[in-house]
Amino acid sequence: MKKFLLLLVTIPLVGLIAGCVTQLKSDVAPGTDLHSIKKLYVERLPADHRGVERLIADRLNVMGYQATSGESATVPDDVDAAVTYQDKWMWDITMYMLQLDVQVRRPNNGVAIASGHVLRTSLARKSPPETVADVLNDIFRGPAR
Amino acid sequence: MTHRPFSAPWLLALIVVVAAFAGCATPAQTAHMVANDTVPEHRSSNNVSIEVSGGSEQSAVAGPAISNADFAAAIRESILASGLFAAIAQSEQSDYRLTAYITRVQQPMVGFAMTVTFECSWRLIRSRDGATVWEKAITTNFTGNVGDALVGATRVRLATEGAARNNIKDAILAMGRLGLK
Repeated sequence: MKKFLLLLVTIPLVGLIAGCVTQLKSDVAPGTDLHSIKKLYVERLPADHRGVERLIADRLNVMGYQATSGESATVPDDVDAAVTYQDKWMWDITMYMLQLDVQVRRPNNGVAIASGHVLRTSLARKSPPETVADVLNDIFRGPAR
Repeated sequence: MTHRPFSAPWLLALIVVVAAFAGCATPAQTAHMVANDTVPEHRSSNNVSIEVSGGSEQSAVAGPAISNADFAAAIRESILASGLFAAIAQSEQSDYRLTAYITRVQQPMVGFAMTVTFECSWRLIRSRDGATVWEKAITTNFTGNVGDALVGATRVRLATEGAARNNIKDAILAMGRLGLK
């Protein structure tokens, strides 16, 4: 009976942490037209040593934008937007990208004009390039825009 | 005294530990996001309308969400309490339009001291000519400690509300420095 109760408590908890929860959300600031953006620069998060900034830039290039990446101190003058991100990783047999937040910003003042968020727990995990593609597609090609 | 893995004390300890680290997320509350003690340098006799976007409703697994309506209400109450603008108006009748775009709410999943980072892009537009008189991205933090709440989800909610409150306060102080008539 006790084992049954323990299972009753443990299974939903494990399901919540390691289950197949997926969240995908993006927003564009009011009055913003993302169609005017052609050239972007992805600023590397200082704590990121997995090269997520390159994955984002690669995906943007596949989507038809002109994207480069590098340190935040070296944003080129001629870009239409800067891209920042925050990634969160978790271990479950292997490391996987649990969460990715992406912001599209005006390069002159850093004000965000669009943002996206994706969260995939262990059983719903995708590869980092696929996760990046999901959130960028949602920001730039979302059904509301 | 020793406890077997499935004994009642073991189970109780497990529940307490899990509750301390995690718990169920509850939404941020308007009243706790209001920046009551904000004194702007200048006050305007004009009115302002408020528009919030980027917020979200409660999520099942992530931390507490902030809805557009709740954040707008907190901004409205904070502005009225500070006297930054004389009144809050509907968008079509307002002297100024204030837009707040919630860009990022970064919340920890587990931990004792839980720090939340909240970023909002603010824009103040003069209705008469549509000119942007002020625009700024403001990032604020707030930490919820075990002394504030034992349950982890409550600490995250308190930290989320605190970070949002600090953001509103910083925005009011910044707009107060514009010297609006």
